[in-house]
Amino acid sequence: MYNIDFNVSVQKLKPQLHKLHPSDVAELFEDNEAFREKIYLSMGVKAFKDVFVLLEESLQVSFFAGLTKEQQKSLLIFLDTEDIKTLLDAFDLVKQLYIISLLPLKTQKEIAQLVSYEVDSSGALSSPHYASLPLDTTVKEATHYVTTDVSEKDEIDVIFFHDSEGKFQGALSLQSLIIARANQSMTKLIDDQYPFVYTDEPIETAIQRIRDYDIEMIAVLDRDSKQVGVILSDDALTIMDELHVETISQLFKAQTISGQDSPLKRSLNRLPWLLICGLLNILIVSFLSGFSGVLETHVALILFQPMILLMAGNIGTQSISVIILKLQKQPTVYKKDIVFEFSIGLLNGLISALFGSVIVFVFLNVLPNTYNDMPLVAFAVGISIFVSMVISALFGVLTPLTLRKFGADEKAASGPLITTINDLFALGAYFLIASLILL
Amino acid sequence: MELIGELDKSEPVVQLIHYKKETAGSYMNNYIMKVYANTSAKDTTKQLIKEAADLKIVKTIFVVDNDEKYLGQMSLKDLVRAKEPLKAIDIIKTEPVLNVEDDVDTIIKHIKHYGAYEIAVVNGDNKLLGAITTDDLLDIYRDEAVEDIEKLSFLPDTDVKSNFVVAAIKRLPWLLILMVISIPLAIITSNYEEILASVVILALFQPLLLDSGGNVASQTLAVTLVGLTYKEGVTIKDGINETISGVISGFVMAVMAFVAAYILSDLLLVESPLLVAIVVSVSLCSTVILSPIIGFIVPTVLSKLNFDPATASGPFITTVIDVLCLVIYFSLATLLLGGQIHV
Repeated sequence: MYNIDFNVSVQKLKPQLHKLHPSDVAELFEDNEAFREKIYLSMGVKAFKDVFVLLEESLQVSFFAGLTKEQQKSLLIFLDTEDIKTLLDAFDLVKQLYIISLLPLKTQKEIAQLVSYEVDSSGALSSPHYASLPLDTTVKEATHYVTTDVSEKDEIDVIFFHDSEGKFQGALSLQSLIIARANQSMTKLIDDQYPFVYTDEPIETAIQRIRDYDIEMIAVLDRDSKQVGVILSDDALTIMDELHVETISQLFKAQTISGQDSPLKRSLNRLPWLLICGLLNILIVSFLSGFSGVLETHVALILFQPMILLMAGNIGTQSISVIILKLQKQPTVYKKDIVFEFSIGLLNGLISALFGSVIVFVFLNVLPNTYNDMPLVAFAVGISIFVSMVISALFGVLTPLTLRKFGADEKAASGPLITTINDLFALGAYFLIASLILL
Repeated sequence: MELIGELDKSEPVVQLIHYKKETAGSYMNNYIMKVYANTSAKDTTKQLIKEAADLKIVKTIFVVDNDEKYLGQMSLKDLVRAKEPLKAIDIIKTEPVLNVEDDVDTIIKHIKHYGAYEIAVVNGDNKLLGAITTDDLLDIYRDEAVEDIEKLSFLPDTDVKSNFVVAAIKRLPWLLILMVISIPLAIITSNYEEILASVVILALFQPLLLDSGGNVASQTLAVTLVGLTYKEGVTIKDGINETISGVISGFVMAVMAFVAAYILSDLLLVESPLLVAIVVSVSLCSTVILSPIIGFIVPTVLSKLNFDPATASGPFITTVIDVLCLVIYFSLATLLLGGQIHV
């Protein structure tokens, strides 16, 4: 994609690499194993840190481990605290302690703070690089602060303000500060309704508010109203992307979505789920073997087994996804949402059942065969479609909610496990209803 | 049209109307701060103070040459720290831009690769027309992400508020289509009724086979669909990796199925438990090996043909795999068990 000759001298390589976007350099870095050291050296640590944070986790780990202690130290100085935390997460405890020991004291404290928050809470994903000034700062002092005093890492597109007790008071955009007249009082200038999230609120809430208020960054407060950090809108996008990929991979229990993993690793990741589902399926067989009698007398029933399984599975998938999407949008699912989904299940179950019975009846009459009780079989299939679809729709709504209630990830609700349990109910209902009607 | 004529004075809005839906042009904002390359840092700040009230994007200042062509952009942060005699051109960073006609997929790939920033939008001559803000990018991304999941779950647009009857009817077409495509499965099964009538336990293993194939295929499908949204796309190598992974999973699952099927058929006093176990495990193994191949090829080919891979893949893949699976299963059963039972 880029014609870069890595065999030229470091001096010549430098301007070429600096012209490229860090994302593109990161790609070159990943693809050209032999020249990684050279890319790092010619870019310089300061520019390279933008590339480093974009690398795949495993590559970050191996590259970092290959640096000398001094090189590690200087790279860490340029990295943002939240990026260091991400890097730490990839190492084992012993290595983590070693890396922390390389950090300046201030950063160590910030890391300790970030680690104390629950995974995927707004606190854990916040950045400590923001500017907060006392409310009695004058416009002139604030301007001086952002133009000269502020450290390079700090985000200053929005400046935050606190009172004498350190409580969050509001924020002022850099733009408003530039326009402000010197004699205006800060209390009047700032937006005291500026949006914030609490550290223990889920990250989804933070993203939702950033989107709702169209803001650059959202303040993150602890429960004493003291500000501990910010979440930037561009980070929100990265997090959203991760959440999205996670949702899809959870929905299908395909843990390896990175594409870099070897086939064996892919299998090992996914096999446990496949095997659990396989075992459950075998349990189904044992349960249902009790119905062999009705199947022997009415082989036609077997023909429509897949139809019933598919219908129950599909409506279940629909309601699970609706609930998961709802939970990403609003804090909880209300009773009316459950009633709504259940009503849809009843209605679509009924229509599908009618449609299904007609298909079965026509099918059995058109195809030359020796089956008996054709209208009754069609009737049994219809009722079973209805019952299994309603059960499946209800399960689709309740499983994610139950999981969330017990603190588990609601996205785990979908996928093979629930499919298999749905199968059991669907086929159980089918054979039971068929036995009642036909025997 | 008359309205547009009337509105001509308020130019920016009208321009937006002219761009096609879901292109960079329709998402971009025209109220951006633009300065020429030679403007000094001080004058840039002055211009900012003058224009600030009308601007939508102020975090970023865009720099153009005398022909209005995009040169680069600077953040407000860089500007306030810049000291005289720096000029705009000295402060800027040149970032990747979007073409005004780029569609939403290109935009998504762009932000997935380059991250979120205020992206300049240019025409074919590199003339700066506007920019897409980070918060708009968030909205664009979210809508696409939700759409992905809806498509994979056969759902219509769930953002629209409606009563439950309307919502139900909107979801119904897919359910009915999926019902119709299960008819071939019934036809296939009816061809093998003899063997099914004599060895009923075969019917009970059907869900195991169909589910496993479906599970493996949808895992591959998910990996492939996510891969397709990246700039690099997916390669044959990904397909091969998925296939090998299928072979490994297939063998492991077959061993499990063999043991389980043998024990179960033995307990249920089936005449030849060993043969039933062989039929079940060999069919399972073949299905699990075939599934990732189909789960990879279908979305890749669909996206090559410019169809939306997310919508069409699911049902199509399920049907193909189910049909293949049942044919393998029942044929093998007839072959191994059929002769022996019809003496």
